[in-house]
Amino acid sequence: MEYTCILCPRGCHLTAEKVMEEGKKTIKVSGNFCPRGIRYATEEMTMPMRTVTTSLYVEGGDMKMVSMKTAAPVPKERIPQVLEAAAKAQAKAPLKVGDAILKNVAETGTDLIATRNVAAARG
Amino acid sequence: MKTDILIIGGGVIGAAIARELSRYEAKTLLIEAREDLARGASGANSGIVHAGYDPEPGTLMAKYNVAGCGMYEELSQKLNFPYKKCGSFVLAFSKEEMAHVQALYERGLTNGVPDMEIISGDRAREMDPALSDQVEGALFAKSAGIVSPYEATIAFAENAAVNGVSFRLAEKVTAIEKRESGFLVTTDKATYEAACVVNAAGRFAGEISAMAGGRDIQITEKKGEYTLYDRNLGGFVSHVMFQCPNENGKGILVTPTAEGNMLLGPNSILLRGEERGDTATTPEGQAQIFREGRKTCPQLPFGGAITGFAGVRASFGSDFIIEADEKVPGLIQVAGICSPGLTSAPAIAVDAALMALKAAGCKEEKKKEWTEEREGIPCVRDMDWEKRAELCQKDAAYGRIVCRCETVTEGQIRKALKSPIPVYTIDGVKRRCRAGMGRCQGSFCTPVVMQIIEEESGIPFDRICKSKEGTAIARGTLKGGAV
Amino acid sequence: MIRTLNTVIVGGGPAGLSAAVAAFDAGERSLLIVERDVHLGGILQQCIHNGFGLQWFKEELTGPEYAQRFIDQAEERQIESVTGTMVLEIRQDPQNAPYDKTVFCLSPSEGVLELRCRSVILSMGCRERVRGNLKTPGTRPVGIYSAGLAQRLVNLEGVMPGKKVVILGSGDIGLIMARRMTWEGAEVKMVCEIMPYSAGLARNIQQCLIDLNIPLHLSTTIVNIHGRDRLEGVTIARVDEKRNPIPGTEQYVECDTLLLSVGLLPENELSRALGVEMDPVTGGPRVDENRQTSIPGVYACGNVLHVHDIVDFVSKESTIAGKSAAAYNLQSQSGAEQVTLKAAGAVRYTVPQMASLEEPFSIFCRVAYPVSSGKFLVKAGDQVILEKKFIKAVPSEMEEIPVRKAELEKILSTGAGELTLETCLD
Repeated sequence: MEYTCILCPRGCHLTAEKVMEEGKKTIKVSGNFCPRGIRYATEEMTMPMRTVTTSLYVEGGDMKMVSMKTAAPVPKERIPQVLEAAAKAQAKAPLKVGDAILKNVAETGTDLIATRNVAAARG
Repeated sequence: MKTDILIIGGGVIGAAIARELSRYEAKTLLIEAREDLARGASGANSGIVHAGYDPEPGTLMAKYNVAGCGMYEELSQKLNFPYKKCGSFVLAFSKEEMAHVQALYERGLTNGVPDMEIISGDRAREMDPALSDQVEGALFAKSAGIVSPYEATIAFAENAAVNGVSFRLAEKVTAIEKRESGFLVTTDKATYEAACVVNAAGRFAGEISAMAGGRDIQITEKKGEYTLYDRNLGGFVSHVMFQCPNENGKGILVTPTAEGNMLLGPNSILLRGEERGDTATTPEGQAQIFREGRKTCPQLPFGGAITGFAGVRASFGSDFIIEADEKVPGLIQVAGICSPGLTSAPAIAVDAALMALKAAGCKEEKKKEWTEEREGIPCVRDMDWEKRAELCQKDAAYGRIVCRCETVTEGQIRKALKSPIPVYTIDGVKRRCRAGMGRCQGSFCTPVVMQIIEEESGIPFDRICKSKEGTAIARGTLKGGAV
Repeated sequence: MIRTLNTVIVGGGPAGLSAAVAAFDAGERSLLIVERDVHLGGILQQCIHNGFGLQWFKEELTGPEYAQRFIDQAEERQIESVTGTMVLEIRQDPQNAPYDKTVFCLSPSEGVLELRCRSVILSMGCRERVRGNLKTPGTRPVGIYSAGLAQRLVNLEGVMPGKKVVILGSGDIGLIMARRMTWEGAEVKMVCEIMPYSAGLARNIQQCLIDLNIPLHLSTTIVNIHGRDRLEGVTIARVDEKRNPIPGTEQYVECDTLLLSVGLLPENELSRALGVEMDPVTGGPRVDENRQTSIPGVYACGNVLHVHDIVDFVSKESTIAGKSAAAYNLQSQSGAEQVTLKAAGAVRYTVPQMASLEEPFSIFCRVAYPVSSGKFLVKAGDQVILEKKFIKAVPSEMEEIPVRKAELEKILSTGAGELTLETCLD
């Protein structure tokens, strides 16, 4: 299988194949510039993972929206559920980068966290 | 509602007539079908105040062109709209064209055009170094100028409104019934009784005349395409550059604009049937005006364009119609006002207003109190630092730049939205104070302008429109719901 | 109000913030960041996606997080900033030496602010190209936006500009918006790119288009726009090698939104009016390796200098500018003889465009078209000073070519006044 690594802007062109090595099934990756490429291609073959980023209306903030992300990548196939849960979340100012807005979003084991400081609205 | 005079059409003609009528003790109402003023030809044209050497002597065009040209300087000062008496050149590229330039000069003299001169190619290039080496000579008309056509229209209308004229925008006339005395005018929103109807409906003048039972007016529509350049090219030429007129009109012009950009255009394409009213730009049109513009200025840059647009000229025969309709008493026709209509507008308005008063049976009695001047919107871009500081002292909102490309402040936008005829749209704000008119074409300031419109009008952010109803920027909120 | 200080930083985005922090760390305490927006952080605040910071912070951050790191650093150092304030003019005023630059700003809180300073760092960023720049014909209805405006509407204002989307240009912002709008329920029909290769990063093609089954049509452009009041559709067409539409390949695509992601332009109106020398290729000022422009004491960094592919390089470059401005204020920077750098072969431009050769530095460059397996050569006349191999180089990515101490000496020994950076294919 061929992949474009998304873990950094370099975007390595990866080739991954399932091989038998010393009697064990393993995935052999080539074309990677760094070890992260091996992890990425292996995950792409087994369970592709993505970080989800979105934004949400924030109550009582000095701006309308707070930006959010999943604290860690989540399974790609779970993205629709993550987005749906994120849209139903509630956020209230003040917020700091890293504050959890939704714990264990869509049962992924990952929190949805704020990626921006939002101060409380003045007045 | 009852009114003495009802003007149909909020272009430069209708607005100028409204302003003239506002001097008199007559009740005047202006109805415009679009959501803003100057949405037809008045909003999309060359913005030239012609000197008046073009029209055939003895025509209405000749008369009103020369008279109108002489009125703009004072009007622009009193009503605070962008105008510059920069002068125009008609360029000759050959012996034959020199003869033509000579003929225009003679015609100008007949028409009463002041301050004309035939100059050599070298002299022309001295004054405007971007001109082609091929220019052999030119007719230099010092009285010609440039004006912001939509700002002039808005200024006329606002001044009229301050002086008591009523305005109804986004209201379309659907029927006109001639009664024993006067008319019953029906729109999609209301009905009005009027003693006199002024038909200033531009390319719809034929339909309006027909509704009222007036003379047959077959409007011819010709599209003209333009390219507008970045204001950093505003000084590329310093005079209006015409080529010799040919069978397709006045030829492609290269000109500075009153707001400080450079403008190229227009071509001339006849619109028929379904095409009528079409203002789309075309690859052929854009290529043509660039090609022909390069004849005037061989170094005309291909880059630096910030937008293209097109306007539709509405004409009838070879002259304006400015008359009391012979068939229908009380109907004043001001139709077929193509070029030089913008130039002629203030002069046409003087006469048309008198015709309307007479038709409505009103006396030529002037109001005791008439506000002659319009404050308008301060232009922070053109101010020195002292003036800017002074303005900020009075209102801190003039210290917050919203449109970075045109240096437009929050104060100017709020002022536009508090004007006598407020229009709560992105384009309405743009036409009044230039926010979004610059090189990024609103890419940065649109959301901030929307925010200010929301605050001033109470229209929710997600329902604010670019122009007419149904053109909201937002087509919904995020999945997470409303803001 | 008139104030006198050492360095004014024009723009509080990633470039301005990095430069301010670097100037402070180099010992400069008299600094002011002037930011036109209400908040610091610049355009990063609307770039809510991840993928920033891997080089600079060694971890993956979103745009707002990356910005916040620098805002925090500036706050920790108590670097002063004014927001909602826009610089409208920069002047040279030799009579006020050594505070011989005056920065005029307009602000709601101060009115007119006149800042007299020794050095200025230009970090105003860039803007997006618009439809008028491309002369795309057709009507002018609502529904046509730059990708950046759409990004702001969605991410900061919480509104969706449309439901059926076509994107012209495969720039990164457009690709990111393809995913963002899809995730918010819009149907993104396609991305059209006039060139035969993408203008965006490979990772964004993968995660924003391929992941979501959005087709990317290369060598394709938009030849007409339809709809009088609201956008109803566009006509796309294939283009030939000269980028001219091929008759007969037209295809109508229904949509209510057209996003343009067709390139960024450094925003240098202030720089031009000030009179710094410009590079017509980058659209930014010509600078030396300290990021000093042709006017001593005036520095430029970030996207105002040249459009960067990733923000980490912006921080790297701005750090140089900040440090150099601090040194300039102490008059410890000499005006050494300079060599000029020229781009040749597939190399489209270099930054810096000049160098004093006092310290090791890096040359950043972009290629004009994709090239594979070869090397970058820095040459003084015919003599090769250094080489750097590449497997592939594409226009969407910047390349960094370090010039080390030994190589500096080699250049100096040739006595050349001009260096060339070119490509040599294997």
